[in-house]
Amino acid sequence: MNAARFKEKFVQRAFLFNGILVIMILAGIFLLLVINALPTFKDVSLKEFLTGTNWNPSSDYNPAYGIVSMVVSTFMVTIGSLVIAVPIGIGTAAYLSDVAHPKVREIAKPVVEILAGIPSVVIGFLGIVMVGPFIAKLTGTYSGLNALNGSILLAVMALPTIVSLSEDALANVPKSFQEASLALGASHWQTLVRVKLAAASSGIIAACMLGMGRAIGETMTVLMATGNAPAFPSGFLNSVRPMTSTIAIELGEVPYYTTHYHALFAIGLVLFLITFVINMIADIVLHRYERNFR
Amino acid sequence: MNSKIVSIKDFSFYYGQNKCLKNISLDIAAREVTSIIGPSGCGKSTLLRCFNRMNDLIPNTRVEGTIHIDEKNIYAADVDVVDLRRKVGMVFQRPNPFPKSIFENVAYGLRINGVKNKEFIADKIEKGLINAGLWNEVKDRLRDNALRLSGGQQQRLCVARALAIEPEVVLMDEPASALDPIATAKLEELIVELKKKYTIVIVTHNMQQAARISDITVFLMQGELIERGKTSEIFTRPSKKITEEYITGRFG
Repeated sequence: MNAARFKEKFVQRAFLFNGILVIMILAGIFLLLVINALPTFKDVSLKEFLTGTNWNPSSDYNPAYGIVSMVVSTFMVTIGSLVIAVPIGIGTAAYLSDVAHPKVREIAKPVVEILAGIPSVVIGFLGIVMVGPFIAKLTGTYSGLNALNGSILLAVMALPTIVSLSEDALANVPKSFQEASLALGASHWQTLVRVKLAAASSGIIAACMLGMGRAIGETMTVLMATGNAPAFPSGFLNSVRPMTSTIAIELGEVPYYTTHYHALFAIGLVLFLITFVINMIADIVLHRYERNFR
Repeated sequence: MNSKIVSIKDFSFYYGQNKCLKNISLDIAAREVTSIIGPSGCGKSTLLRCFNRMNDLIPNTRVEGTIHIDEKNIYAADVDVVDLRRKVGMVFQRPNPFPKSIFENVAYGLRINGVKNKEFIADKIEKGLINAGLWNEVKDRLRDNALRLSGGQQQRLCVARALAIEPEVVLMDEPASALDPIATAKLEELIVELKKKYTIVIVTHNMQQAARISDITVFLMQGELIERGKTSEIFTRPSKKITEEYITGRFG
């Protein structure tokens, strides 16, 4: 009896310990980011950091620490990828849930999900040897390593998430909605667009947000495929260098505890805050939807 | 006037190899309430769902024989199912309003038919909701989500939704089975009221309900039509012994 109670207590404590450990590690990472980022602002004003367009930290005479061009690059590549991936993803999900023969769905869905497992370095490789030359040929630019290339690759990476979760959302729409719509003389197409997509919209929005989350934090692919020009981008055919690439490229070579070093952590902090806000918005959208419709 | 609007001849329905409706022949008169009764699994709902070809959605099924609605065989090759379903509305066993506003639920049938005129839609919605006896309860909150209504209100909303496109026949598949007694009573009043304008075919498990609201009662068992007659006669002096046994509750 006593032994059993001891075991019970022990298991409880063990789980508690695990939970606390995970929270501590996450809080620790955040703290590390903040502590390492803050010294940046001894030399650089917050305003210059957030609004400057010139990033040239290794200059001896006039170092500049403006991150606007890389923030813009990050958003260009991310939004570009969503513009490509969302319509294709929702279309594919609708095809799988409503048009495809069940046997096709059984095979196609796992295949799409496996795509999520392709290492990002392989996708980046494809960007350099396939997408890049193709874009170069099509547009007459020199290398094809630019924002458009990055958008296309990130779209490929976000697609499995968007397709798989959107298909789940569509499949979870109660059959009774579909029956009601068809019984009113709606075609399959009208039923899909006006009833099923509408009823599944919260799940689809969540799917796209998760896809966006994947795209915005992706490093290796954009590092390989976007050309890495730390200048302010003027279009999708420009080479760009998003925030993630900048950190990856420069952190390995920067002297420790310099302003440049701390500034890279500050970029990481900004990236973290952006993802945090996106997730928050997704959450609010989801909850508002649930309040209205459940 | 007792013209028949639905005419079923030698109609059979198969799920795979299983023949679950067996050579049914039946006429249904316009502007009457016809109820279909019978024990569970006798094929009542299957028969009802043949009238608007909802069974087309189930794979591996086929039919034999004909169903004529307005003198047109609805299983003929050239029939547009979409047109058929606009003419033959349906209310389901469980209330199934869309997760949209009350207004949009009723407007749905009009919108998918390409109606854009806002005044026309608003007018139809008001009439539909009045016809369904729901107008006074919801007129001040047409923009509220339909899923916030009570079960009985939701079911009457589904009736309004079906009526908004002015079908000729309204099919009801055990429409009161998920409702409480008060909501059921309201729905029954509504059905009796509706037969002035519409032909109603209702499947019900509830014998009293069939007796209360229908003009004609059809008794099915194991996929066969056992008896069809005036409700008053079926419930007082059925011609077949088995009908009497079912009605008096000896089985089923």
